Amino acid sequence: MRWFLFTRVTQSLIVLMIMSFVIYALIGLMPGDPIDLMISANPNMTAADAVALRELFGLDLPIYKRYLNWLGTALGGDLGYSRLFGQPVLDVLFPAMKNTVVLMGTAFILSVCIAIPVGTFAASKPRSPIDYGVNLFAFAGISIPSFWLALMLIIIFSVFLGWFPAGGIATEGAPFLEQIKYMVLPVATITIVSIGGHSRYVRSSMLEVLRQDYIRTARAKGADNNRVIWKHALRNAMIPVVTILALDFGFLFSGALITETIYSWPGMGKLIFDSVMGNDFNLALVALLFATALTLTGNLLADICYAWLDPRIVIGGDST
Amino acid sequence: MSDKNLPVLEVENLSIGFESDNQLVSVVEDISFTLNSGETLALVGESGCGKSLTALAMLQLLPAFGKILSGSIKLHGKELVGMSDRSMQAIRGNNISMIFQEPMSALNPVFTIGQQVAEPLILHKNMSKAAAFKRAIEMLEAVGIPDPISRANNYPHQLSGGMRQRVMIAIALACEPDILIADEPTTALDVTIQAQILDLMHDLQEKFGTSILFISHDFGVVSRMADEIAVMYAGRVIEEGSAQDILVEPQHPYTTALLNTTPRIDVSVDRLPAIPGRVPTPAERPEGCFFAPRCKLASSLCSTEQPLPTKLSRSHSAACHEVGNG
Amino acid sequence: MDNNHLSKTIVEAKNLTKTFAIKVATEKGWEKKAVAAVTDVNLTIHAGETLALVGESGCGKTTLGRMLALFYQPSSGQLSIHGNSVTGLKNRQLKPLRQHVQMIFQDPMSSLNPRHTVEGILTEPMKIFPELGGAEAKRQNTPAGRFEKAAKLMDAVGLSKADLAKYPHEFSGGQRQRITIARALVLNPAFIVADEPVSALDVSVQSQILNLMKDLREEFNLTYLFISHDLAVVHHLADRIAVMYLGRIVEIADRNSLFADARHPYTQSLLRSVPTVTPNKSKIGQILQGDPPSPINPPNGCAFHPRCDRATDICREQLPDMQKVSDTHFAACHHHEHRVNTDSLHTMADT
Repeated sequence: MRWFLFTRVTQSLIVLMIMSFVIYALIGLMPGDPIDLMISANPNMTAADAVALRELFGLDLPIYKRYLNWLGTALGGDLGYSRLFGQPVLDVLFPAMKNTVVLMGTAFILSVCIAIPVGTFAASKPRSPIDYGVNLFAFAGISIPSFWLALMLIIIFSVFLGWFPAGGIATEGAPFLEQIKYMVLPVATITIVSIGGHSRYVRSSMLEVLRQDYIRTARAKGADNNRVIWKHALRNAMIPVVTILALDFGFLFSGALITETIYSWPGMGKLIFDSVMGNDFNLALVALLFATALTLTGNLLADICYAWLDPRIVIGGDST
Repeated sequence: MSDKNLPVLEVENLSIGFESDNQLVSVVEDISFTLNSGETLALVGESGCGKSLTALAMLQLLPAFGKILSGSIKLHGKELVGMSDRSMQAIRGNNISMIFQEPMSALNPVFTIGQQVAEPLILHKNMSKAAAFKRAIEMLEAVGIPDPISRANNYPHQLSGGMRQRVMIAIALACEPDILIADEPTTALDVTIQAQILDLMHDLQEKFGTSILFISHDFGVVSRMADEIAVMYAGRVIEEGSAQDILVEPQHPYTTALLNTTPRIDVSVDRLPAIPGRVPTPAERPEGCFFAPRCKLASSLCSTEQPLPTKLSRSHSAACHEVGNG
Repeated sequence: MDNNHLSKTIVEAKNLTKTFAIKVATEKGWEKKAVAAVTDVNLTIHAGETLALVGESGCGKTTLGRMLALFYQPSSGQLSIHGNSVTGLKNRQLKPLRQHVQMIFQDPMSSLNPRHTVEGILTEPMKIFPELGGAEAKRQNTPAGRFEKAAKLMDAVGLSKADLAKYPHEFSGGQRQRITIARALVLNPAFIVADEPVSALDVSVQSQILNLMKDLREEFNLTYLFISHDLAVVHHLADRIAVMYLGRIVEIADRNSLFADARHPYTQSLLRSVPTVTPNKSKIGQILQGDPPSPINPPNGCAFHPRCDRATDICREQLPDMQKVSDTHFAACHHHEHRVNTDSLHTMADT
C-alpha cells in the first residue's frame, strides 16, 4: 500500500510538472503580456520604455527560461500577486475554492445520493414505465443547458415567487438558514444538470451486473428482490461508477463556470474566468494548476476506492 | 427426510415458452418426470433441448420473458406453479437448491466464501451471522475444502475452479434441501476435477439423502450419477427409464444414435455413426416428430403426427411411432 | 501408423521452451518474473499421423501448439517445420513457411471475421500468398480461380457453393467449424494444429466434424496436431498421444499402449477419471486429489510428486528423464515400471 501510494504520488507530481509547463506556455500564447497592459493603462509610456521593462521583468527571455524562473520562485512558496485583486494569489484562491467546494460538494453529494437509488430502481425494472420515466428525466437533465435552467429558476423562484435570492452569497457569519437560502438555486441547477448522467451510469452498470451468474445464484438461495439488488448487485455495480464519479471530483474544485457566473457565486469557475478575461496571468496559472492537481487527486482516490470495493484488486501486492 | 423411492418432485405436462414481440414461442413442450427420494434423475440432451430451462423452471428462475405456459410442478405433493414470489423464496435454497455450470462466475466476487455459504442459513434458518458463519465453515469442511477456516475468509477469485464448485455445493446444501438441481456442474472443469466433484456429490447424497436432478449433455458423466434418465430432444422428453434401460437398451432412435455417436474410451470404431443435420431451433421445429428429419427409421406417419410416450416396461417409456408397435 | 520410422518428419522440436514474462505481486510491489508455460519439449511428428496433445487447463498444450503453428517464437530450443529450421527467424522470414502450417481454433464464431463473407474468408489466404504453388497455381490465382478453389473446399467440408456469399452468423456452430477447416486448407498445408476443435460443439455435431477431419486427412495428406482435453475424442482420432503436465510432456505413446498400459501415474489418473458409458452409479474412487500446482512456483523434482501416491525421495529431488517403455512408448517417471491395468477398470465396469 505504501509503495503504491509512493509510486502514484510520484507519477502525479511528474504529470503536474508537465501540466504546469503546458499551462504556462498556453497562457504565454495568449495575445498581450503584462507590459501591453501597462501601455494601454499609461499613454505616456514609449516603445523604448516597454523594451526596457520587458528586459527588466525577463519577458524577453525564451519561454522555457521564463518558465524555469517562475518554477524556481513558485517552489520557493511565492506564487505571485494577483493583478486584478491586488492580493497574493493564494489569498484570492482559497476563499474562492471554499465557496466552490461548498456549492459543488453539496450538489455532487445530492446528485449521487439521488442517482444511485434512482438508477438502481430503474435497472431493477427494465422497460417498465418507471424505467422509461427515469430515462426521460435523465435525458432532459443532460440536454437542458445550465444557463437556461439557471435563468428559469431565477425567474420562477426569485423573481416570481421571491423565495430565494437571485444571486450572490451570504455575508460571512450570517445565520445558517440565510446561507442556505443563497445556495438553493445554484445547487439545484448543478444537481439537476448532473443527476441525469449519474443515474444513467448507475442504471447501465446495474443492468450489466444483474445479468451476471452470481445474481442468479443469489436468487437460487432464496434472496428476495430487494436483497438481490441492494446487497448482491449494488456493490458490484458501484465499481465502474466510482471511476466516473472520481473523475468528476476535479470539477468540485474547478467550479461550474456558467452557473457561478450567472448566480454571481464567488467560486473557482468565476475566478478562473475573471482572471483569464482580465489578463491576470499569475492567478489564472495557479488556479488552473490547482484544478489539475485536484483532478489527479481524484484519480488516486478512485483507485483506492476500487481496491476497497473490489477484493480482486490488490493495491501494492499484499497477496498474489 | 422422507422415505426412499417416494416421489419428491413430480413434473406433469410442463410447457415453457418465451414471449417476444407479443408472440409466444414454446421451447419446452409437455414434459413429465418424477424425481424419487434419495435418487438421481438425469435430464440428458444436446444444447437447445430445453434441459437447462426445465431446471430453472423448477425454482421459477426463468430468464426475463420466459414463462411457464402450463403444467404442474409438485414438491411433496404441493403445487409450485402459480405460487407467490414470497413463498417461492422460502423454497429456493431451503427445499430446492441449485448449482450451475460456471463456478467461475456463479460466486459474487465482492463477498467472502464464508459470507456466501452462510447466507442461505441466515435467510432460511433464522441463524445469527456468527452461528451461520460457524456452520458455513462446517459445510466447507464437508465438501472437502482444505483449511476451511482460512478459506472462509477468502474471496472467490482466490480459489481454483474445482474449489469454487465445491463452495457452490456447500451453499446449495447448507440448509439440507430435499432436492439439489445440478445444471452441468462439471462441464467447465477438467476431467480429474470433474471426477472429484462427481465423487463428492455421491458422498453428499449418501450423507444428506438429497435427491438430485442432474442436467448434462454427457452420457459418460450421467452413467456415473443417474438412477433414472430422461432424454430430451427439441423441448420434449423422448425417452425415459432407468439408467440400465437407457444406456444398455435404448429404444428411441435418437437415444441410440446419440449413444453411438459419442466417442468412447473403451470402444474403438473407425467412423463415428454421425447423426445428420442438427437440432432444430424452436422456430424450425417440424410437424410431427421433431426428430423425424434426422431419423433413419422415419415413416410418413412420423412427419405428420407427434408420437406420444409409450410404456415399454414398468420403468421404461419412449415417444416414437416405430417403438412398441413392431 | 507402424511405418513412422520410414515416413517423412513434418515437425521436429528439440528442447522447446516458452517462457512468458508476467508481473507477480510481492512485498515491494509488482515484480517481473519469467514463467515457463512449456519446458524442454522434444517431439517428432511424422507425415500423415495424428498426434494428440492432452492435458488439463494450464498444462501448456495450447502454448506448445501455438509454437508449432508458428504463432509464438520459442524462448529456447530448436524447431523445424517441414524440413525448415524456424529457430531465430524473423516474422518476414517466417512468412513463406506459414503456408505449411495452419491452425483451427476452439470457438468457430470468434475465429471468423463477422464482416467478411465466407468467400472473402476463404480467398484471403490466396491473396496474401500470390506467389504460391507452381506456374499452374499462379495462373489460377485470379478472382475466378480463387472462387473456384473456395467452392471446391466448401464441397470438401460438406457445405455448398451457394454458402460462399453468406456471412458467418448465418451458420450453425458445426457449419462454422467446417468453414474454419476449409480456411485452414486453402493453402494446401501439410500440417494442421487443431486446438480443441470440437469442444464447443454438441455431441452429434462433434462426431460429424471428427469424421470430416478423418476424411480430409486421407484426401489432403494432412498431419494433425490435435489438442484436446477429452480423452474419448483423442482415443477415436489419434495415432499417438502426448500427455502434458505443468509444461512438460510426461508420457508419449502410440494409442493402444497409452490406453492399455499407461506408465505415468498422471496418465493413469487421467484415464481413471474418464467416465464410461455404462450404467454404474458409484464413486470413481482412487482419483487424483487437489489442483495442479502453479507454474509460477513449480515444485522441485518431478512436478507431479505432490499429488502422486507413488512418490519417493528421488521424485522430490530429481526431475525424471524420459524413460523408454517400448519403441513407441516413453514415460518421464522414476517409477515407470509400475503398471496399472487401466483397461481392466473399464472391463470391470462392463460386467
